[in-house]
Amino acid sequence: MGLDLSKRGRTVFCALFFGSEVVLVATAGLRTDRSYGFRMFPEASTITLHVSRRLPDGSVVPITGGTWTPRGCEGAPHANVWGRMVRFPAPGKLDVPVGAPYGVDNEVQRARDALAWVATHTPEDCETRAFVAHVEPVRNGRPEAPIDFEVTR
Amino acid sequence: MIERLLLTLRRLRDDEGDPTMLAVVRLGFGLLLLNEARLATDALHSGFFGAHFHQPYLPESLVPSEGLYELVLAAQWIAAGLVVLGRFARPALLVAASLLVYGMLCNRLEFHHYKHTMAAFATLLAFSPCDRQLVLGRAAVPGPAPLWAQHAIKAQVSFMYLASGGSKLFDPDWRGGLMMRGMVQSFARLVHDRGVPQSLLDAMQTPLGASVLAKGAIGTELALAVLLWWPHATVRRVTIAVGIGFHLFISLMTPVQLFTCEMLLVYLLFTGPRASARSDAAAAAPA
Repeated sequence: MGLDLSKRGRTVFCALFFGSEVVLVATAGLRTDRSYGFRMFPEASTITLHVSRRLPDGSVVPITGGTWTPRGCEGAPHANVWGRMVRFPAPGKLDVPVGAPYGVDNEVQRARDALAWVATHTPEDCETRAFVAHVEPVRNGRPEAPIDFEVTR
Repeated sequence: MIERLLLTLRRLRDDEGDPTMLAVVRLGFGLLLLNEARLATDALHSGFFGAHFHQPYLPESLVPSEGLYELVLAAQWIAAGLVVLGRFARPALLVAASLLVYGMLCNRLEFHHYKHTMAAFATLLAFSPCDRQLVLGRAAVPGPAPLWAQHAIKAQVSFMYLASGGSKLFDPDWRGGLMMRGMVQSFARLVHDRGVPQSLLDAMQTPLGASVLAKGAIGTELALAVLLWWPHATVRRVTIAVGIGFHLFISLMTPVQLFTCEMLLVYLLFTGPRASARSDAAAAAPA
């Protein structure tokens, strides 16, 4: 299979392999999870994610217990469970601190992407106009300013 | 200086020797890859990742359906089995590494340092003569073999220590012990259940204790990166012992187990004589 390389092949292979690794390490900071950068144990952080729903009349109703039951498109209620759609290491639980194994920035991005995923994967929900998130981050034991964002449907 | 460096690199590239340890490491990684296939199969049984929230690096069209993912898993099992058996082990290592990377690219939530490391080591191992011994149903192939890939694996170890230790060194929370304090706190119950005295855990969670522990970890990683290559055998032996102790300590203090297994396996490759020592011995031997 050509895995026994010539001397020149070995040099080229090592240059490509370790060159790629240098690029990945150098650019790790551009990725919120710092992936492929060998940054082991980057933080000991948590986030607490609170999610509310914006309804057609503009009111904002918090999701409690990770469950919400909006009116379906045919009028009947449909139960949705956050933890069945979003699982750890994404923030799979609402209203309690969840570990951020790859750091606060990454867990906030995961929360944002998770909300976007839920917004597009609950077609039977004809009531919720947007999900409103309130994130309370604690980075390495220090509480930081909350982060708010909204994902429209 | 540059000439000396180039000479050393050339010697490492052209080095030949006993590939026994590479076969042992291949067997170990084969077992780890089998375990990885088992973990992925267990995860599938509790629900296909694509049916839940996932974060693909790749376009969604390249993320497999559940049926296709089952085929990917089957390939993962077969490749790992071949690596263990030694039959088509080297291409199987490449396939296994590619599938690991593909899985992580399909879902960023599946990224783990140990998987990335496993893929890197498996790739390098595929280019080594790791299939000359410990092959089911085939006698060992005698004689020396090229060891450049073994040296590349060792270089990978040092590269990882430099990247990891360097990133911690430049992070004030890490350097100062804040991160270490939080980590010890979060794993305190687990570590206490493993028999570590509470008084020691309390001491590690003090600002001074956490700071000393953090600086020790950074210093150890950076020192290992260099001293594993030190010319004096005694220094290298002590460094290997320190490195093994370091990884066992991490395993004791955190849930990290698979990464430790990988590192202990590749440490075996540091135990042979140095390339230059072998070259010297060969030069001194009568023709």
